[in-house]
Amino acid sequence: MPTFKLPDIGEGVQEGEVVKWNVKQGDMVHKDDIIVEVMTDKVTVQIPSPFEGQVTKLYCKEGEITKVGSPLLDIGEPSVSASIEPAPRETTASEQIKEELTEKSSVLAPPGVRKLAREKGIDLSRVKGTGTGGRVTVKDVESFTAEPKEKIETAPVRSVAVERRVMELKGLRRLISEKMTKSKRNIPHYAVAEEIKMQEIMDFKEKLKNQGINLSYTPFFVKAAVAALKEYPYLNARSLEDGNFELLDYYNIGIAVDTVEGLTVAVVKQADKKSLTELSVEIEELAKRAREGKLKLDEVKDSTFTVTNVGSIGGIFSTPIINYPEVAIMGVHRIMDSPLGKYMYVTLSADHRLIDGAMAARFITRVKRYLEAPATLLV
Amino acid sequence: MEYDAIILGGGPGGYSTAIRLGQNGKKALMIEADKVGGECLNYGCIPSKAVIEMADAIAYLKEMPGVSSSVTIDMKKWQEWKWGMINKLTSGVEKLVKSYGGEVVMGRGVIENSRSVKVNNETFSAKNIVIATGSIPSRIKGIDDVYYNKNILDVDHIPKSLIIIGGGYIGVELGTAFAKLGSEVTIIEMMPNILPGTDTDLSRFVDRRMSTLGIKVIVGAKVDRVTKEAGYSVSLSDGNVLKAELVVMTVGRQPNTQGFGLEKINPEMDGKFIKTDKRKRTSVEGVYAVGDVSGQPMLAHKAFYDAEIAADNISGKNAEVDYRAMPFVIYSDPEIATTGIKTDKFNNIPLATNGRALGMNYNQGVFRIYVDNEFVIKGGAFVAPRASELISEISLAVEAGLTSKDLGMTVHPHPTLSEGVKEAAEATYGRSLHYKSSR
Repeated sequence: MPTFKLPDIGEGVQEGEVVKWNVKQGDMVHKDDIIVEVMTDKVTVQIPSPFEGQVTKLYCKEGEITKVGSPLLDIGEPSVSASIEPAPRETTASEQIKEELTEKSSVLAPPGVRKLAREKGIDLSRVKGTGTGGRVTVKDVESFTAEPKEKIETAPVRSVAVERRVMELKGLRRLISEKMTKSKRNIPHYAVAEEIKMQEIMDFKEKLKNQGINLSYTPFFVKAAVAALKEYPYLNARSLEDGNFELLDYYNIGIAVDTVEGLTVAVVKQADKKSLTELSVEIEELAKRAREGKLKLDEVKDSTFTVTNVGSIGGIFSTPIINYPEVAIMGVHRIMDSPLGKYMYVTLSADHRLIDGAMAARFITRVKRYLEAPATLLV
Repeated sequence: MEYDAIILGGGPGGYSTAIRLGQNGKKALMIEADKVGGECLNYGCIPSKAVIEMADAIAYLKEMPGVSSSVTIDMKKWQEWKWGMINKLTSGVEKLVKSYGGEVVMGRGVIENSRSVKVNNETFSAKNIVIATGSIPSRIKGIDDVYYNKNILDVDHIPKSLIIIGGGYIGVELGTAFAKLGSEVTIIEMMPNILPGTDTDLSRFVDRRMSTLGIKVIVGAKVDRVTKEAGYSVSLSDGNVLKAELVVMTVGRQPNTQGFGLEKINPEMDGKFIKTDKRKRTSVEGVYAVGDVSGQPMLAHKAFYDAEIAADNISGKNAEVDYRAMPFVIYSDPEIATTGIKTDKFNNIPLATNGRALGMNYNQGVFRIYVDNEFVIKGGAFVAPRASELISEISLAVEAGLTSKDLGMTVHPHPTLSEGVKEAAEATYGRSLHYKSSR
């Protein structure tokens, strides 16, 4: 009876958390059926069955962490009982009718609901339908947006009767917890803030739009950060376990993405070598896949500096926690009106072990200068 | 001024894009070279159904047992009425476009670049261009001097005899109508059966009906030459020569991609069609394509659907083509209407079990609903009078993910043709009320 062990997923991953079993003991599986979802360093990997047969034993529960090479499940020969055809359904279909496969996986949702979901960027297969026969309704989609169906509520939207309970941190939530604790425990954080006048960049964006180039703000922030990092290389570094720091000669910019499961940082590799348009396309694509939970391991690793855009949700000011083992993180916020025009706060949290306040202030001043004269980003 | 979009073509794809953009608060300019309403309203769907309706009414009385009637047709008067009716429709459409702030310019628009179009020596610019140039009838090389759908629908008398080259849905529809109006009709089809692409166990009802109407159908035949000299002669490749007063060519349609400067922006093509993604964007930034020119199926209602998607995307929303059921209707006798996909799980309900149909002196046809193993409705096919009006119940069921039990347990009024839909739903789970399968 073959035992299936957690395979080496690559990229030096040593362990993973079983987040979801798609099979239970006694189930029949076919080769290449997805049997289990395992979450490694912020990426969920779907593992297909290498054999056909009946599941005879599961070695771990959902939420358990298992190491590469340790057994996941046993798959045996199909037992006699399992090979019996399922009970015939009530049907008068003629004898010539053969079983056929239609898109059974397609979500039961009428067109109006599908349109709404698309506009909100929601993957319907993740929405639990409360209508007849599991049909997804408009309400289901709307409440899915308002509050993630996960038990973990990072931000309760309305006051609901809260049930007192112990919340076991699982999956991404647990990873976030570990990483944030490590960062705050090890890094002496401090923050500086600067005010950016936004009119120039808004005009610049509009001009590009008139040329048919539609960009969001994020690529500008990334571009400005990279330009400033090149001038202040201490901020493009990582802390080592031995207490030393490694200055890096490449610029991989992490972009914080708010997903239903929790915060994910998607990484734009070699950001210094990419144009605004390329950055824009890549960020959009990464964010989309982050929200769908489809990022590849490679796309969440090895960032050298992180940008978190809080403004799209709300809040005028924040002091972000450094994405360990990086040494600094930049927060961008909501664009606001004042009698003097549009402006926005930018904050920088830095690791004081390596970076003094003066350098952080100089860095953020550079970022300000770039963003207030966006044409300088192109030279 | 700069428009949000310039739309090339004022047919179903074009005018509905203009209306949708207007509804979204966007400024649209629609350019039409011929007539607002396009092929569909002027030379296609609408006038052909008008001819069919007249022909059906005449045949209906003529074939009703015990009724004798003599009918004379003044086609000139009828054409006057028809154009009056069409003009009402097209001017209504134009008014609608304008009521939403859209502008209409008559003339041939030619693309200069992805943001500007020249028409009547004036250049207009816009953030987006929507290509909605539709389709044109396919031709056979070397055969030029024949009638097409546009001409035959505009005749001032009923031709004594008519040869139709091409037994697809347009040929069958026109052939049936003119046979009922008194023409001697011959249909020549290259494929081994008429209505190629339609299930023969659906098209056989139409085949049989055409034969009782005296329509001569020649299948598997290729036309070599057509000559015109005091009437037409059609030479087939097997040596036979057929003669008739008129010859109509209905060998399909092809996307209209010529004569409006498409080469200036050179978008990626998909065969003869302009390639678009699910958001109806072409490979050229800011340029969209909708309707016939943007791919199969070439149907006005698909153009309406495309238009809404393109307009929403132009308006900054994220919209994608996402239908699970695209209806397809043939206005043959009886009508054939299908939607969704075919599965192997269905049972036929003969039209002859439907009381309303019998009372209409109809008994040839069938109702079918296709379900999956969980009885979720995936599609349907009806051969029945007014099948075109019945099919949307199935499209809705497919889109909404209803099961055949949902339809079967919905009360349908009696006596109606729509009971056939209910019975077909019931038949999928063996509970049809008025029909017991002999199998």
